[in-house]
Amino acid sequence: MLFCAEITDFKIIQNVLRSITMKDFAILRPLAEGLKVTLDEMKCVETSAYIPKEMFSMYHVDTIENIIFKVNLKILVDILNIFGDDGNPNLKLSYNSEGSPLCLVMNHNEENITVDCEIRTMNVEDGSSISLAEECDLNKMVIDANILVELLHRLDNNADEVTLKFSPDPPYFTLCCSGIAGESEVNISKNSESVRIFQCKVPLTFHYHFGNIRQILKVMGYANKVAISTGESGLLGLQLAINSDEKQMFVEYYVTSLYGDGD
Amino acid sequence: MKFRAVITEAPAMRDFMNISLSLSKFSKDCVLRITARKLYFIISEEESGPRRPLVWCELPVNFYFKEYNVVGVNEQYNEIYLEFSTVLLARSLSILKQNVKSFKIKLTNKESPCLTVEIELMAGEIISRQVVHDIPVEVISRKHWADYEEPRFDDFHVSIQMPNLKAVRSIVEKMRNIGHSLIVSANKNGRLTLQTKTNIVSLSAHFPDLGIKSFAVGHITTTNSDDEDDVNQNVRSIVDIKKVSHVPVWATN
Repeated sequence: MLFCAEITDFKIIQNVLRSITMKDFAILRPLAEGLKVTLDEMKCVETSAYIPKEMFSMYHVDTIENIIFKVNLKILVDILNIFGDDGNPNLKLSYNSEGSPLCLVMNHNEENITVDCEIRTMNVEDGSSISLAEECDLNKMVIDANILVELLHRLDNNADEVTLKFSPDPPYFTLCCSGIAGESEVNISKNSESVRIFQCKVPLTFHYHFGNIRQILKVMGYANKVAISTGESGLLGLQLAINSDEKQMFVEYYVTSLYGDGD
Repeated sequence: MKFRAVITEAPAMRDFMNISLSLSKFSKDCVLRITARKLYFIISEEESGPRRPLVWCELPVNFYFKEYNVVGVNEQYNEIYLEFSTVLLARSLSILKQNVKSFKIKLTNKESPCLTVEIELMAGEIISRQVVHDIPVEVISRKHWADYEEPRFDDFHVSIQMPNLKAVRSIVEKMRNIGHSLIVSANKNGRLTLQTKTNIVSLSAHFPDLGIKSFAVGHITTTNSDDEDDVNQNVRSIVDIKKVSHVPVWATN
């Protein structure tokens, strides 16, 4: 058995996966420290959900093998929600060997119902395992998620591009966009109460497609804190920490910039 | 021929409305069979030859109606068979969602035979509003009544108690997103299983410990294997999932 795990009360995982399902397929990687789910086929954006092994009541993975496979995420999310909004089901996941289907067994807590499911998996060419996190190594800000969500909503919805600026001098962190209606700008000071960490090694300004940033707003609604980081290449990293009771899971979102530094 | 019936209780009205909505999801046309004791909604399969009912809905009159009066075709056959559009009925009855004082349905002749629905709404304390809808019907003559015979229920292989319909509804709806057909099976121990399969995913829901009313005695060839195998003997049937998914909706509303 390459991988098996059990979890009771996975409502938050269900909600998070549902809100990031922007593509049909996802790549699952059961790692020693937890399960990573990465959306497949996204061009300038990479979205992953990371479920640490502490969230599971039982977690076993064969660490000798490098386990990686692809499944239809839409179907998986649908099945996780099979009992609808009530019932607090518990879930058992297993992946026997390379090429075998992903097996799910769910037991409804209140009614005497068992659901079992097998989803066909596909092989993945294990491409370059570049660590995107390493690329965003220069500037970083950790801020309360609800504040960031509110500020992003204040920016002009119709604008195509958003500019993100990190600076060691005031105003420190700026988001601005210009659209037909005019210009909108939001500044966050490193001294603000909502900002936990602020680090700016090199002042950087990059432009991003606003639609790519807005895509993450839905799941950001579940998060407690967000870490925004950038590096020389302009890759923007957003790491969301999502708390559920005493456990925590993460969503990571990387977006490439439109064009380089300098206005 | 005469027919007049009145409903004054809100739950009965709601039920009637839900039934008409479910009927409209199964088919565009339906036959209403009016007898002294029961009202029947019959939807037939669209095949030529002896028609078999796809839907057979029986409503006991004294449970639903405060007033009920029918005078059939003649004294010997005190029944009326009418064919009507389910969409029109569902649309008219959707008014029952509002605050309704009374709901009357009757057979009328307004240039052509119609089922007239008269709904009295409570618009205020003093003023009430009345809504009248005429649904054209076709009277089915006695020579065709044999087409709508009551189905025999004694050749079922298994009769098993249904589990919680709300859960079934949720599960069948998800299965509908996945596959086209639903495999329904049951075994002697009272375990009902719903399954759907495609080449990508296979999904089964098991409902154990249900009451069994009857189980295929004489219908399944018993083998000479161990008792263990006996327990696992299953009776199964494959149905079109879209048709099944409409039923729990009515029952859980």
